[in-house]
Amino acid sequence: MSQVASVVGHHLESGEHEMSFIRKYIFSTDHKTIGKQYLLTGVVMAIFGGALAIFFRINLANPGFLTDSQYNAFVTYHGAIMFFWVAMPILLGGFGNMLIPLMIGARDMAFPTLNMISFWTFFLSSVVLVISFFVPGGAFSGGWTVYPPLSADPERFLGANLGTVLFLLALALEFASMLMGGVNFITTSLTLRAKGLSLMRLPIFVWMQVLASLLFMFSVTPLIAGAIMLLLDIILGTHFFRVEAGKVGDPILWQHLFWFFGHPEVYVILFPALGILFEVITTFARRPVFSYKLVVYASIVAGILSFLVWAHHQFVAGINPLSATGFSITTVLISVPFSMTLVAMGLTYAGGSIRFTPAMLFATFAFAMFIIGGLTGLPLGAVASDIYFHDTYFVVGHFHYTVFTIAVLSTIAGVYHWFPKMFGRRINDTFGKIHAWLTLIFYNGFAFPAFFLGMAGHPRRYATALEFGFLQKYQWIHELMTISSILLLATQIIFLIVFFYSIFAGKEETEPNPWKSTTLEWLAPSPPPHLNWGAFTPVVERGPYEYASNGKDVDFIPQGRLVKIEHMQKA
Amino acid sequence: MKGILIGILVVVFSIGVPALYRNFGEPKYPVSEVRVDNSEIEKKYRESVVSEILNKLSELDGNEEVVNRLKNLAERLKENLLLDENNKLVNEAKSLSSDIGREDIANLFDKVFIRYEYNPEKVSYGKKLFENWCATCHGREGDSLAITPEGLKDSLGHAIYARDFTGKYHREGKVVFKFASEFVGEFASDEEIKRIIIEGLPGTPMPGFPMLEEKELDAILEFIKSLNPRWKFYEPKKVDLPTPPSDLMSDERIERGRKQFQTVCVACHKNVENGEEPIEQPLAWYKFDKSGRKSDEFQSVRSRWFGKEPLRRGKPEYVFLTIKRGIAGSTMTPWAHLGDETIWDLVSYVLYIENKNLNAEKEKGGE
Amino acid sequence: MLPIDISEHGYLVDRVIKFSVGGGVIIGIVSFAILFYILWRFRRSKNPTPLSDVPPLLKKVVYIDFVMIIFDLILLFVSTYAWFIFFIRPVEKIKKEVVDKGEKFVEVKVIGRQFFWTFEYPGKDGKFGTPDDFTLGNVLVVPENHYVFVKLTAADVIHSLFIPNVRVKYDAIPGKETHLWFKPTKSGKYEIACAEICGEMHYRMKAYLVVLSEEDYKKWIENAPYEVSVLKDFEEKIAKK
Repeated sequence: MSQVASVVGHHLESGEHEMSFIRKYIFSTDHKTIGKQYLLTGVVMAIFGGALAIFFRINLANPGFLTDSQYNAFVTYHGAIMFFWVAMPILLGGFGNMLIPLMIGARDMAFPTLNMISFWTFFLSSVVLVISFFVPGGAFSGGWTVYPPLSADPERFLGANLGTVLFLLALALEFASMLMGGVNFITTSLTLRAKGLSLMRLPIFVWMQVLASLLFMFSVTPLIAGAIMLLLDIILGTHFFRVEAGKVGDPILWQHLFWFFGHPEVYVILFPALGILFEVITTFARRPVFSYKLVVYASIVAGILSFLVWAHHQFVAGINPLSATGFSITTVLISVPFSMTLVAMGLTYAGGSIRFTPAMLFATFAFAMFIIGGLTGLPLGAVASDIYFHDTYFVVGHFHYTVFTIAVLSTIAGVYHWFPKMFGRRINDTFGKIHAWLTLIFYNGFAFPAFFLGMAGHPRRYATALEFGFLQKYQWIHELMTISSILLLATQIIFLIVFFYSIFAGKEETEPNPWKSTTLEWLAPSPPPHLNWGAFTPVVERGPYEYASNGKDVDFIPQGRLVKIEHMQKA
Repeated sequence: MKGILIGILVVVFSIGVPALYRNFGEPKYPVSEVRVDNSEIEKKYRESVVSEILNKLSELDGNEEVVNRLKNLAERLKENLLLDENNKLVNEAKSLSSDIGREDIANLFDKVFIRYEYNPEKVSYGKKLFENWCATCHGREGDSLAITPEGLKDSLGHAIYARDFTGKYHREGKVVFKFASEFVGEFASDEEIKRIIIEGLPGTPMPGFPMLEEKELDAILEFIKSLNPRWKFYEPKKVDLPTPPSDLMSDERIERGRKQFQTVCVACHKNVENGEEPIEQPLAWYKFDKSGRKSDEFQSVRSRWFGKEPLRRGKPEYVFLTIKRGIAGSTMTPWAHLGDETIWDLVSYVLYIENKNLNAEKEKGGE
Repeated sequence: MLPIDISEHGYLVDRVIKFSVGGGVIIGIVSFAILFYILWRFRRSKNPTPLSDVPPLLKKVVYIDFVMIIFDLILLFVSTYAWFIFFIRPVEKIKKEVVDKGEKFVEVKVIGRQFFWTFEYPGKDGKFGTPDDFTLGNVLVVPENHYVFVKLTAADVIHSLFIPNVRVKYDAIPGKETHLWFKPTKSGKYEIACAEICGEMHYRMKAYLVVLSEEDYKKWIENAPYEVSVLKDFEEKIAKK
């Protein structure tokens, strides 16, 4: 603490020395800049991944648009990009970096240089991924789950040796960057909290980021081991997962390693999104979280349980049926802590005075869509119905209702909410409301019909439904989904234009707390300067959601207040 | 400000949506590229025919103009490959030749290039089906360089390869079907190949595909034929399946068959009834490695070990044909000169051994 | 929306599907109704000052958690029972039960390949490894009302045998032999799809399940695979219906 104070003191005493453009905006160690860099890279990758989705959806509506291996490659990259290069960087790297220090009253992350390295590793991984898409031999086309032996012998089965190796390398770099970021989040949240900010007074957002980082760190190592084994199979021809006459590897081992990580991974991206939703909902409903402790404990329990459910992706993949039963039990029961969290979220609205700003609209839509997502997980978690639904469009519907909600709706809610803080300007409210409603309509237009296709038994990753008689009659659903998804992407592109326009020429917002929110980040000026608090330091005196509290006649009481630093240590 | 944004939205959607919908018409069937290889054999053949024409033309005198024009056309035909262009040139050459009264030159012109017009749509459809169902054993190019055979081994431990439809690995570049071709010669009739595709070759890894529709079979056959250009010269011989005699498995036939077997068959098949192992014999195809490099050795196979190894196509009618026609590409020569009755005796004997030996195996296994 | 179920035991799967999806729909509708009520009742124009506590009636919404728990437990019970019938019981035991009950069964070996299925039949004698074994591609021929025991594997990459009309699915894994079983009760031609991405033509790995009546099956197996007229006639019979 004193070390930071001395740095601050040095800065304030000697005047802000002008940093070069490169130091200030490119190789910056300031958490807010790094957060914006993550956000920007994530958005660019989202456009790439979204465009891939549009192309393969056009193929589904109009077969022949892509070749077969192109279709598979587009599907693969769409999945991998959305998970690893959009959801994780924006939710963890973007919002986490921007907001954690501000919310806990710190001046920067605990390891600013490590933070910068983590972003640039992530950027490198994005570059490698995009290159891997365009190399000769083709992009990897075996599904984002990279199941061997299809992926372990890419030359023989897919003709895409270089593409696969680069894909795995990009993945490894991305994991490294997120690990570095996770270290930062956990350390910062636990050690750099402002005076008076006990753990049970942390905003839910910070709790969620910490849980997500912990989940990621504990779950990713088996997959890194698996990825190394897969690379050895591809490059050296070992037989970890490859099956050849006389030398039999085990393809199921990869599945276990992947999904042991894969399931906590979805909670890694879910928790920060829930955090954003709680912040937005409490602010615009003017009420505290229904039961703060319930939410925190339920999330911790869910996080621990998430390590015990992974083989629900492998019910029909050759695992012992008895262990499948065990996993089915844990999977269905993990819905309980989440339903508790969601009920708490819903009851946060109750009794409030709900103001439907764009952020609140998006948050409410996200909440509602996530209910659908969670409920549709039950037919998949129950092992007998999964016999039918495994690898059909029912799964596609389920994960779009969860992941899209997390990665897009919650993210956009967060963008609208913290935009004034980060950029000192506003995004036009009317546009935001139109954006919200259009997104909701088009999103349901493409995601809801997936459940009907799933009930009909339509398998996943099919370039066209027209080969099978039992699917041909559903071609019109494909066309509907394609049109909706194109319109959805068009809406988001317009939003991006407005977003970038508003950064530079939106209506100015000088008021640091336009939404009258209680948490600490709203005490800083908009946008916060380097080292956040200037000559002040925040001091926390109460819980994070003191709205409409206990009969007092005030609308809200901020969590803390800024106190001028009396004694600045000379450098 | 708000108005501009709403205006942009309206314009984009009202133009964008109909523009996009315009594309969603009848779904097209995906068509893959047609790659019909013009092999060296065809080129050499064409050049040989053209040089014959030029020889004949050089013997002609008189009518300088016409002869020069014909020489010109012949030279052009040596190189030109496009179907329509060639058709035009050949028709012109033929009419000119007829005009000067040389029908033989006209006939030669007719033969210059291979006019078997593959239906490109059929070939590409057939290629797609081939890649779907056949490529994993027969190779994407139909040359038997494929994934699946690598794991298949016969009782001698040799790798079993699927039929090569290009002739690449045959010692004379021929496309020979072991169970459907004439012993000396190449190719096979459409009917027999279709029969093999539908029924399979039980006893070999070739499965049958009885649910194929006619048009799918035709397309696959068209694609297979397009792999070796000389297929055009093949005149398919119709082979009817014989009817087995009513006393096929009678003791007399089996006894006569046994006696006949001891005369020549034991040379390769040995005394299988008493447990001897048949000998290994070479085939007409070269061995090759995973990347397709031909070696100097021939593939080899053990003469059929009746009772231990299943008969290839063990239906009596097919065993009859196998003995009568031989197995092309192997050392099993045709035995048609023995006469039908003797061959049926042999068929009975072979089937008898197969059942007998197998029972002996089972009893041995039971102990 | 579900394809017709022609198997004897498919109703177990259908029961779980209908319960989980139906229950989910009901819980979803109830949740949405409550959410809409809350959003409407407490919108700013109707409620400018937030209440100091959640109204006691709405606090009862917490009981949805208990509803969820009970729903989950019933779902697990129904689903585990069905799973037990299908996969937890060892195959030998199921075969023994089938024989004891006097029912008949056939066995087939299925190998998934890029990009078709091969079905290895034991032939007339019902035993593998005899000369009358044969292999067919892309068609699984079984008699009506017989149990069908499938041994499943793959030749190259992971495939998955999915027969929607019989409610079976299991992965075909190279190097391993998995199994599944079913009992078709209605003759007809049904489609088999691949349900694990296996390369370019994953979407074209169509095979047929042909369920023949017992007489047709006897006719077919007598001379299989040389005699395909039974299968062709059968197609015409279906077309006429």
